[in-house]
Amino acid sequence: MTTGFWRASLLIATTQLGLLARSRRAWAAACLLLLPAIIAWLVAAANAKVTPSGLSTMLGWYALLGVSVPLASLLLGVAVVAEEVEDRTITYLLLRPIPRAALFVGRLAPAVLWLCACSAVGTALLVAAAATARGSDAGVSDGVRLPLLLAACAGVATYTTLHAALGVWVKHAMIVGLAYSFTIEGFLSNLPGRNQLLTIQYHLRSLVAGTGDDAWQRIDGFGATEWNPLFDSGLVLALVVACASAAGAWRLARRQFELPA
Amino acid sequence: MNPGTEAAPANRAEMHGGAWRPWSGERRPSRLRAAPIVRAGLRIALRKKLPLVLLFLPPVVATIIFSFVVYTVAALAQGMAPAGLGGAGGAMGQAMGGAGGAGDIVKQLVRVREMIVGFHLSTDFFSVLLMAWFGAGLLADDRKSGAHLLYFARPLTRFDYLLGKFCIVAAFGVLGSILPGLVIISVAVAASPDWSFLQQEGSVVWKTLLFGGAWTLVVSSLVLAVSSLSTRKSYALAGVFAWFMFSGATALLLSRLLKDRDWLALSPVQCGVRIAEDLFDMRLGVRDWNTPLAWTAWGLVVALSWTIIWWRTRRLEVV
Amino acid sequence: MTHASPAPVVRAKDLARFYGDVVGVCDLTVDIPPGTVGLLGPTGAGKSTFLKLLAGELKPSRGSIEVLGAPPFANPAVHSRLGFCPQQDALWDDMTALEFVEFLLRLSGFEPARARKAALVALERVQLVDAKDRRLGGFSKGMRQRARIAQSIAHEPQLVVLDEPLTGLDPLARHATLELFRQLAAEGASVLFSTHVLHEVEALTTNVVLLHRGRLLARGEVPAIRALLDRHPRRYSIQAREPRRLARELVELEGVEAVRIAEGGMLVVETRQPERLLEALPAIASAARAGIGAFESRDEGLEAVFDYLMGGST
Repeated sequence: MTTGFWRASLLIATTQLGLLARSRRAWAAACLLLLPAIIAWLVAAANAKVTPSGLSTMLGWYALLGVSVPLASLLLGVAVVAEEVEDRTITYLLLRPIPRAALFVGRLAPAVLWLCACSAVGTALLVAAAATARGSDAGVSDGVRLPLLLAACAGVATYTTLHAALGVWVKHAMIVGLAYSFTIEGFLSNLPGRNQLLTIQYHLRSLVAGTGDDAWQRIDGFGATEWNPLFDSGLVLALVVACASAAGAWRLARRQFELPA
Repeated sequence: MNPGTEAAPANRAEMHGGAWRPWSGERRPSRLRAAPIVRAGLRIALRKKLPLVLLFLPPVVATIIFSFVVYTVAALAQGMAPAGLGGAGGAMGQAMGGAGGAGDIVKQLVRVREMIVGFHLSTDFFSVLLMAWFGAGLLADDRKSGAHLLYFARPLTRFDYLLGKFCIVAAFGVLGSILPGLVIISVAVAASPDWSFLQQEGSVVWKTLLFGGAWTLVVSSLVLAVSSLSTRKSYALAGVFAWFMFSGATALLLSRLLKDRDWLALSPVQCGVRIAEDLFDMRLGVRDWNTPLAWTAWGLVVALSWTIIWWRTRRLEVV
Repeated sequence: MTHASPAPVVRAKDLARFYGDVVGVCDLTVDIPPGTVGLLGPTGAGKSTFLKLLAGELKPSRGSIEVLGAPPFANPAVHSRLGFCPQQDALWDDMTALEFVEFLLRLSGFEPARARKAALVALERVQLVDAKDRRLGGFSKGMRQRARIAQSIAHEPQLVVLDEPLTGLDPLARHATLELFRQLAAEGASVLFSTHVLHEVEALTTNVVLLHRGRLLARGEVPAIRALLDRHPRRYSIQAREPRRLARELVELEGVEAVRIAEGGMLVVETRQPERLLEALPAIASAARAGIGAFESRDEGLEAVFDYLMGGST
């Protein structure tokens, strides 16, 4: 008696979702995504000059997209497979009559879902907190709200899939992921020139630029940067997700794990 | 008469006090009870060669480059062509503002000091990497493997345990932050005429020690605090970097949003820049926020870190 | 009329598995028949590596292995008929015992109602049904071991592979677990379990596979292996105040083949008639005023058995 790919994926995903809700790691990731909202609320309450759109764009751009999204995704993405290996519980899953790729998909999907939900809540709270700022401007428009939501969700999906695949391929995924987040996403994405194209951060920003309004112009270098068209960046992100999923599933189907007793 | 043996029937068990002798020596506990922890911790850390090479390579390369630059500047200030530059010394000397006069030498010595400060600030990142890598697992791994039970089963106080762990992280901070600075200062002293660098800029030595020591204390405390909150080294490592990233981004953002540079005090790295500016009496561009606030912020980080560490290790003792 | 021997459940040919420079198993060629088989060997013999290869957790570095007629690595067809209880004490601590077994049964293709029923039966068999709704994280070491055994037998596999299944169990639970293995065998399942304790195997089966330093040392019935051992003289160590005087007396004793004084003044006696030695020793020691301080057999440990089989000496 064997279990098919989709059925196994669904079974693992539903169980994993339940476990996620009880996991400290998932809540830590959620807190990371809520942090910009908390900062926005504190700043809005403490300072009378800061404006709603200024607060939401600056915190959304630098804190949410630049720091919270990559870090929260790293925290949960790496856990998709590497945590089971570290906990040595992967044996139970690998020795069941299921396609191994289902294990990857089944554990990745709840992580992405969870992070998407948290980023949606985080974005909504950030915008709500920024809206309470007392500085006078046009307020937080849909041209700020929706691009931020879109980029945050696309960001967690892409980063999480990438880090999940990394967790299957390399032994110290968290460390490699941290190095990647720092050097490529943190450093390269802020260098001028076309090197930015190599980073996910650039494509997320392109999503914002493609759907956002003039409120984003207050970000340093926003107007001077040549952003990718919306469709192109969306396509690049979708391709990264597809390739990382395929690479992770393919590797998991072939990889053996040497677990200590 | 011993009451225990007086009425003992023949078939009852006896105590063989002669065979079991209570220990009657004098117990002389070492004052350096943390030393074995430090020794063992360093030995374990130094066992894996690849991380050592990868993490020490950047500071070593930076030290060599800065040493060479400092030597070149000092040599040019005396109108000499430094070895390795061939006959380019004269031209280079002119390009760097001429050479030979006493005023020029003083100017060049100030430049050397600036270079040393620049070196400190540019290698801070690598010292954080070193301390985070070798310190992140110190408390987290003990917690995970239950090794703390072995520690606390010995005549070891919580203070000894934490001191030992702190010294391990701090050792890497010293190696990554203070020692390279001292090497460059030594090069500057040796290369300056009649050790004039020591006479003119001698205070750089203690300032380097103070700045490096304070930076090591802040980062080590932070690393240990995050480690005490985690159950795995990788979590702790992520936590340390998350903290640095978040505090840096938030500090920059708030200082820009609210147009108040005091917000930079939220970031230990920015505090470091400010403190270095003040300590070495230099102008790096961020002078308009107050130094006491930067010192206070560092102090708060240390105090908060040790409160967390103390609280978490108290819990370790009762596990 | 000829009796065809049943097809082996495990067939390894020139099987080798290396961890870098370290040998896990090497040149292992063995057929394991259906029934209950004990896999014996001292720590580091390669038992766990062999079982992991057999369960499909690891791939062979060289050679091949077939389980129930097919290579086990990433093979759902084999895994649906195989139950594996790993040695590592790793469980999903946030799950309850029932959730744990039920989830793995669902992955094995069981429908929800059937999975629930089978999970309860398995937990009943390992005497965990009373703790079925408790979190695994709160279980004792023995309970965790039983939960692992439960998941390995719940789907009624044709072959149950257990890596050190009796570790961490108290004597009562150990007895119950051995009884469970007997029942499984009676129900027609093949049980292959590893241990380094000889008498645990003897309590359950006479069919053993002995591994040593990653190689096959012996395979077959325990009496046959015992017979191999009996060809060697038994050795005893005696610590005496006057070892030379005692040696002089012992060398005259019937069956004693050699007497020598080892390091530290320990007397080592080799005899083909151990009963005779044990019977006569008190009188001899008393007559010689040898003052015996300690006496021990050097052949009781499994390591000594392996040394004999390897032709070495300790």
